[in-house]
Amino acid sequence: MGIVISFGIQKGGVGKTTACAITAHLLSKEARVLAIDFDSQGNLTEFLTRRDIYDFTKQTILEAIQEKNPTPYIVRITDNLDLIPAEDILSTFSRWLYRDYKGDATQALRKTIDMVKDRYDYILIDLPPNLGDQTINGLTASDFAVVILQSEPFCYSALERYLETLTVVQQRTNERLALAGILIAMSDGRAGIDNSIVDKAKDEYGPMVFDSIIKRRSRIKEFVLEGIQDSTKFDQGVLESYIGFVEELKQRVNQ
Amino acid sequence: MSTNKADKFKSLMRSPSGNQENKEEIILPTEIAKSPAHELVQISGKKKATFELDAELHRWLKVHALTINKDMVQILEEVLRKYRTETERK
Ligand SMILES: Nc1ncnc2c1ncn2[C@@H]1O[C@H](COP(=O)(O)OP(=O)(O)OP(=O)(O)O)[C@@H](O)[C@H]1O
Ligand SMILES: [Mg+2]
Repeated sequence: MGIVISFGIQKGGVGKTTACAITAHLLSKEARVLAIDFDSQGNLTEFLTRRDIYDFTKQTILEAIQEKNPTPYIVRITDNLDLIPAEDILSTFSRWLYRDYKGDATQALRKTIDMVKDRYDYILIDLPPNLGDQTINGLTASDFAVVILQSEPFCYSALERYLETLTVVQQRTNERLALAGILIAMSDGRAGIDNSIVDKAKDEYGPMVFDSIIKRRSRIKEFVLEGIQDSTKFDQGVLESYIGFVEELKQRVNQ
Repeated sequence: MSTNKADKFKSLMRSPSGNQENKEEIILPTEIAKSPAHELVQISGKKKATFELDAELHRWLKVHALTINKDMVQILEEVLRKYRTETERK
């Protein structure tokens, strides 16, 4: 049975999608992985396929959920890595849920994922930067949540609210949900602010924080165009902090 | 290293045995009722907005919504989403 892990926080542009994509890539070296793009921006789709998201119009997670059958919408990225894409149309998800969906509005994604869960070892969900229906559905479908904390003051206040959301989901819609951990991603430059936020997070949240800290490397942005590269020493160095994180993640979710 | 926040969210961590411990006791119901996340789950992604719209636009929207069998708010959301996408692409 696949372990479902979501990457989220309601703060935008902190590196959720990048972490999700690289984690999917790294895990797929030794396990079967399904990545689900659950953000209408379609960034994960673009990152993993390097194609225009509109190539996937009517071939997305929204149709998979609406037709209660994900199989036709699974795109093969490599032998061990599959994707269910997203595009703009996913922004109609809430409206569809409340107008047309007959079941529990928090469980739609979970029911869809359940149908393919036994084909994978890991199922990763990339969540949008808000606390709306997609995030609630994503967390309700998850066994574990990874929370990204960028080392900036505004992100720190978002963190506590996101953890409160996890608690509510755990109590009301998905008691299996657990926090895999808080993954700190450095924002560049001002090392002083960065470090004080890292210290504060480690101090206040203790073992909930992953030891690995994602470093900013400009090469990461090129991966969006070139695909994730790891054949050279240089690129392995670029990925080093993600590799450390994935090792910790594997340990925590397979405990 | 046991602190306020780590304690507050202890129920979210899976214990080594795979069970979650004492989860009801960690967060008080009153605390949950106050939390914005609770409100979110309750209202499921909708938020009440009150503002004055240009009267002529409002009339047009009302009639148009009727003719295409949609709610006024659906049309507004669609237009706003389109506008947001355009704005964000710039
Ligand atoms: N480790 C990193 N080093 C350098 N740039 C990074 C790194 N991680 C992410 N970025 C860049 O930061 C930007 C935002 O990253 P990403 O899209 O992963 O964030 P996000 O949290 O998913 O955003 P959104 O909230 O819009 O979904 C992107 O341009 C990405 O290439
Ligand atoms: Mg993203």
